[in-house]
Amino acid sequence: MRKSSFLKLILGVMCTVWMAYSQFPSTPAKLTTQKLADDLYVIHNDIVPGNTTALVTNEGVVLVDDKFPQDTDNILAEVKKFTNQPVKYVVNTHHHFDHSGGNVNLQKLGVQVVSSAQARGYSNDIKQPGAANIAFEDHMHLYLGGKNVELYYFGKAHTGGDIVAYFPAQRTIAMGDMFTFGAATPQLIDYAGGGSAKEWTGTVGRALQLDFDKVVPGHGLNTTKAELAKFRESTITLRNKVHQMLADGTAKKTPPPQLRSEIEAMLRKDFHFGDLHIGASLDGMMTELR
Amino acid sequence: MRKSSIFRLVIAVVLFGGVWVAYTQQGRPASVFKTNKIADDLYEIENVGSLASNVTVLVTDEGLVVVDAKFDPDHDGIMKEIRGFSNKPIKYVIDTHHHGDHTGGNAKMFGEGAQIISSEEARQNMVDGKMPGIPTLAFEHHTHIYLGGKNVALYHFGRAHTNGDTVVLFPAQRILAAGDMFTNGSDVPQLIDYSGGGSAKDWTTTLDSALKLNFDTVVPGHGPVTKKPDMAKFRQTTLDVRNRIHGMNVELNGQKKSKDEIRDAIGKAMQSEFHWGQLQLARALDGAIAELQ
Repeated sequence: MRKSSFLKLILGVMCTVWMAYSQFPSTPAKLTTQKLADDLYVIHNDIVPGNTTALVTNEGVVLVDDKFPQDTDNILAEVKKFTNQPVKYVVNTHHHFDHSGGNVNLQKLGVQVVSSAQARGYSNDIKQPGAANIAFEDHMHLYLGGKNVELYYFGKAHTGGDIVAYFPAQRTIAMGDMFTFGAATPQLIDYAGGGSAKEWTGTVGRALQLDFDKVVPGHGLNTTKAELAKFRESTITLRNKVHQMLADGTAKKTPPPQLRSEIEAMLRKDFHFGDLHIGASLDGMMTELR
Repeated sequence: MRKSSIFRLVIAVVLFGGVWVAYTQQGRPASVFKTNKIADDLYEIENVGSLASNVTVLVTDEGLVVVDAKFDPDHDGIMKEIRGFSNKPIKYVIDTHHHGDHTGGNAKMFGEGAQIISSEEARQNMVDGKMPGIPTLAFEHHTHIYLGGKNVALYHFGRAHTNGDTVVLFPAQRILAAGDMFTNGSDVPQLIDYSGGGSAKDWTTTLDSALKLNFDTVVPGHGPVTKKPDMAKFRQTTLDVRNRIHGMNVELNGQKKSKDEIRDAIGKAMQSEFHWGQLQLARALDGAIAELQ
């Protein structure tokens, strides 16, 4: 009885995560473009899919993240509004389909897809199409038209393959979902995809050591380095709160299902967690943050 | 003293000329190429009677991955050889290091539509040297290229021939393209390019890292394709060179020999014992004497 309900729970969680990341909406997102610098733009939409960043050079365009497959045409239409240059590279900040779903379409156009080696592995594990052409470890430099984009793998956070894309000349960083901005997109630790609440703080900390002013979050509006630093603090608050409840619950011998419910309620109330976040993160946190 | 200075100046001019010719395409006769099939989908293009590097080509359904591009005038010859076994487009060119005999064909490879990739250090050397065909992708430590269901693994383990040496592993074929970190044959002795960031001291440990990879066959930067044990033997040579230079430094300094005397003696020993030619002496002798005190 207990075993079977646990199994059901696991299945339920897996389904929720799977649906959230694979079953994208049938209609494309409504896109708007914001100019960050003379040669740097963000192609934005509400909540999901993720933000796309575009660097324009006189030898082509570098995109960071490419949303869902049905958004590709609209992304290219937005790019056309500010340049006639072709897209040459797309960087995936991580493997989730709302950031890498356009890969197949873009690869057909001759675009090179670059990701971390880890992200490529997670993408293959769940048999996603459009795996990266080039997959690096630690640090990769991308040079085009006299400009450069610096790609860094700093460790685990949202997934086990998160990278940040740093535009030194523009003093801007595209963070992927290592940083989501706004209550509508709370922190999501994808344990099945190698994420870690414990390591997240240090990973963001390493990104914060880079020299930049502007920040493009994975989801949400463009913001400042100060907001990223605040978000880093909130990753500590989250960890500490869950750890404390786990410690207290164990001391009081609270039955595990009840403790789980209490932590879930707290995450929903204090950290704006939704079903997706609970499904992807709660059980992993209860193990990791003991 | 004065005579020796003039003599050294003359030698330096001669040697510099030699190096310059060796590393650029000037005054060089057209190469004659020969293609060797080293696996079902992997070919090595060697040249007969020229200093240009070996080229390694992986064939996939979606295109080709090429390691090193020889000199600029060699491009048409390379393409002719490649078209003898595949009509697929060249998708990637990997530069094992920045020298012109490996990167001279880059600009024309861009023209073929290839992506060019190197270590960040090799790319920086090309930028500093205002060389043509600068790579668009530069990695640190390790990266992978995936094409047509195949995988190529690139490693930058540290200093050796230059500070930016990359080795390229074809895991499925168990073949390594070593660049000039390993040159095979007494006509192509170890060359430590100090001005390009090379190091006799680090070379051995860099090779140790490469030797830990899983491969049976190795394409050296220059010289015939061979097996892994020959690369291990070459590693031993790098140690022997270091020990010999260090030993002579200690011994001759102990005998209060002058710098010129020490330089001449070590140079002669390298020539007679390790087949060093003018190119090796010009690029490596002063740097090695300084590094291996």
